[in-house]
Amino acid sequence: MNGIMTGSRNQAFLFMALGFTVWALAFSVLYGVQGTGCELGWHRQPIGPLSLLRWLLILIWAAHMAVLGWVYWRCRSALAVTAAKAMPEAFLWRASMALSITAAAATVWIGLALLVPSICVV
Amino acid sequence: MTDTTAATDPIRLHKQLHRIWRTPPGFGRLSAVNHTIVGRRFIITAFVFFGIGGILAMLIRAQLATPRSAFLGPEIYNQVFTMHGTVMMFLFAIPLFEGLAMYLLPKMLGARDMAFPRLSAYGYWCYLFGGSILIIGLVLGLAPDGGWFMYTPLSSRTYTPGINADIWLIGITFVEISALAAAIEIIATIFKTRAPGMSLDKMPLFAWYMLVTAFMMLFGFPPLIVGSILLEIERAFDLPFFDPARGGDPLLWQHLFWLFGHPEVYIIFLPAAGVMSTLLPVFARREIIGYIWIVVSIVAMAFLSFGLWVHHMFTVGIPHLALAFFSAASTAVAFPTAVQFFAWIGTLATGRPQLKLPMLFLLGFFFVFAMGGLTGVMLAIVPFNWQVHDTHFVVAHLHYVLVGGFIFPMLAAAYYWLPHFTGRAPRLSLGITAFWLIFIGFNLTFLIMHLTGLLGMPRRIYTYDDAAGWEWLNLVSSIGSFVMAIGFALFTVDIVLQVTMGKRARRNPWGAKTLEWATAMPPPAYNFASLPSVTSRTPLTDARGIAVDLARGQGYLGFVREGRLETLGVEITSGRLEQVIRLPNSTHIPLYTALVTAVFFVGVLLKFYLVAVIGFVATIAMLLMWTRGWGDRADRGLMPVGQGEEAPPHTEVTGAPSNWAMTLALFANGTAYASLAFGMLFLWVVAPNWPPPVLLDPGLLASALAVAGLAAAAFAAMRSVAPAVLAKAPQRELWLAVAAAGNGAALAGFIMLMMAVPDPTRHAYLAATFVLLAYVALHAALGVVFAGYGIVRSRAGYVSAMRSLDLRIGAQWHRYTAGIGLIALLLIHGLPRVMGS
Repeated sequence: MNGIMTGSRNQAFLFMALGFTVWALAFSVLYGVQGTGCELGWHRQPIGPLSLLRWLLILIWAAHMAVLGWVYWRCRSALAVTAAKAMPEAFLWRASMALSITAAAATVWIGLALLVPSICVV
Repeated sequence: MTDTTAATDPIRLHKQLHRIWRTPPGFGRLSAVNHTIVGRRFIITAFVFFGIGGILAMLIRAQLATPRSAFLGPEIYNQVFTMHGTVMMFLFAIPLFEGLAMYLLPKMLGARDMAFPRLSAYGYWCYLFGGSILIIGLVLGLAPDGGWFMYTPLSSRTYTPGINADIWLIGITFVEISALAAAIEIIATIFKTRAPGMSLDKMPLFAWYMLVTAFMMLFGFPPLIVGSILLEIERAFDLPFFDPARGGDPLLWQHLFWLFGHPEVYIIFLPAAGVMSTLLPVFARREIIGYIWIVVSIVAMAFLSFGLWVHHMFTVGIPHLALAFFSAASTAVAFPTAVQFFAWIGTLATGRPQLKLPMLFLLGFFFVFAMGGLTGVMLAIVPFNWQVHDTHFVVAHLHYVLVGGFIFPMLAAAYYWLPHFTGRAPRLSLGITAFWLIFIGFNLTFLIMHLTGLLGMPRRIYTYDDAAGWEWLNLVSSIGSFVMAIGFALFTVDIVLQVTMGKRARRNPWGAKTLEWATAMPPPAYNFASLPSVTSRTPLTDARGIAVDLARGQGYLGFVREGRLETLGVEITSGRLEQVIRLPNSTHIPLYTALVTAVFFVGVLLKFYLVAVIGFVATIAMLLMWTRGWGDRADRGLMPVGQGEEAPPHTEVTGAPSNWAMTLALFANGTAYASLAFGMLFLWVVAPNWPPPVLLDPGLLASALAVAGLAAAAFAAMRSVAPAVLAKAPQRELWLAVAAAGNGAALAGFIMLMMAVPDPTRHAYLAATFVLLAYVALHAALGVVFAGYGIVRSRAGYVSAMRSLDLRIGAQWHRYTAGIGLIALLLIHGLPRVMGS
């Protein structure tokens, strides 16, 4: 029982970093793929109304948003089964949940840029 | 002699503890490893460097006060402004908060010392020696002169042929060792050495700030270290990482520098914000509002701050979409900052604030930092940034952020904790006058500078024409800067008077609720005669008289066991009692290790590479000496710790601080490695003159030897810590020998691959490949040392089935080396194929 509780606490602590780790990953991958795609000319290959590169970037962005959704759901579920006064678990899960929402908001914010500016124009 | 019953005579207990914890007088002071002494040394040294940086700032303002000034020539002026930025950022701000953290954290957390006192001392000497290299350069007129960010190609050998740039690269890298050591030490201390019961939700906010800051240092500093090493290699051996004619790119330097440089701003701000969150509730006379939201915003801020670096590079020719990513992240970071601001304002609004001296400086912070934050949001917007890029508007902004966000809180901290440091209270109220001089002088200097910037005055120019229209603005700025300097001089006088002539301070003069005020003032070397049990965020409110009870030995470890220096270790999240951590006593070995490290750095600086190699080997040897005679030769099992509880020694648990230290060091190492790999891929994608004229043909034999060696070493290391193997000395030593042999084979394989690289000065691809292989080869060589060290420790009786710490630390290294080795092989085999196609 004690081991299970320790595991839950440690997991809650790790989840505090998970939300923004996904954000950081989204940020890095978007920046990296944008640079590589421009270099390899993916922005000149149209697929429907958008270019291959823009589709790819939107897909990457959406995939990370989905992962953040899972992180939020996991924190919320864990918080629901943690007694409100069970400290520090409740504290850590609550903080993790808030961080997952904040990370999702930050990911939406940077992702909005995908819809407007030219991708490869310097 | 062990007496584990609580001593009720506080004087007797004090004498017992003082005898084993004290630092010897005279030259013995050089052997100090105690966190109170080392922390104080960091702080005092940082303020000395602040004085030097301040004098340089005065020279800058004297030069710019009037048009066409002949006060300084351009050569000297370039050195002066470069050194001003370098000293303030690397030798003042970072070491100051490191020192504050070292001094305060154990006391706030209810511990007797930091987790690795010798590492603190080593870090201090590295800081002092590295900083001294830079200052000696300045005195000799050889100081770096390419700006504190040392942009290539200006800092490359072609345009800076002398030793000036090398002094920056070597001196700063030396100082960065200190920063990384502090980061590891701070994280391990906060994770493991808290008082029993202090779960993460009960931890003082200052510790949360320092924990997050230390993680940022761990990931933020390696890119700069890698960049500095690459630039030094380019300057010394002509390997062209930043030379576009040979496949390099100056932008790689900018990326590596600002990958460090922008988080650096928040690395400096967060500890100061920690001071705000600690002091404000005391002067507002209520608990802080929104503890959990502050923790959330610290973490958010830390991550977001790593996504801003390109806003220093908005004008270098990066596609609009990428600019939009960084612009968005740069504006987003304002939100967590604002959350903290509102928590502080709310705390003040709902409390009963007292306008005491430290509070005055905190109010100064509110005004100045808010202004800097707002101009920061302006600069995050690309079109505006383009307009004011490289003008004095940026200089004004960064000073509002750094002086507002760091210096004002640190001056508040100085007045707040000085009674704790010295046991003395002020007699005069010079501090109030000092505050107003600094506040008025600062705003006079830098508010005006926004206008000079908007009128188009560029940064880093040593003079200007009197027709430019900037004359009176610059004159006012300069007058303001001298007013500010008088304020800082008055602050210094006030502090000196308080230290030397202050009246005796009463205990906890501000009515604070954090544990550091439960120690005597000034604190003894051991902090607490016995360690507290914590049940809330305000331990001094919960248990009135806690200071006396602890002094009487009525907490944990209120005794001396066999002359050992002991503190308690806890489980990270819950703060549940987990282990007894034995700490080292005063020793000169950190000083000697730093001296031989200095031999290495000076050898590289003066291009005496044989001397450098000797210094490097001597440093490794000295580091291994740290553990000589250190450890237990017999299993101890559970030991009484007082309060009717027992815990095993740290050598017999899996979560020992030193195990964490290796994990954290490998995080930093991994970041450095990732920066190197990023550099290689960045050049391939972005740099001109690719693909290279010749590709590496990695021999299969060498690669196979490397893979087999790495795999064998990792597997053998894992086997050596398996419970069944650990119990039998011959078996574990055999596996360790296999690990050593495996690393030796991998080393041979990587050396063969390095020899197969065509002349690495021809192209950046070859240079990057060579360095990547050398990086892994060095790790494999150190793997041989680690495995051999494990055998020595095992033979000396320090290892058993229960005492496996030494081997587990080594096993981490072997696994990590195998990981980076395989990635390197993948890159050197894969990249030519991709480029070839």
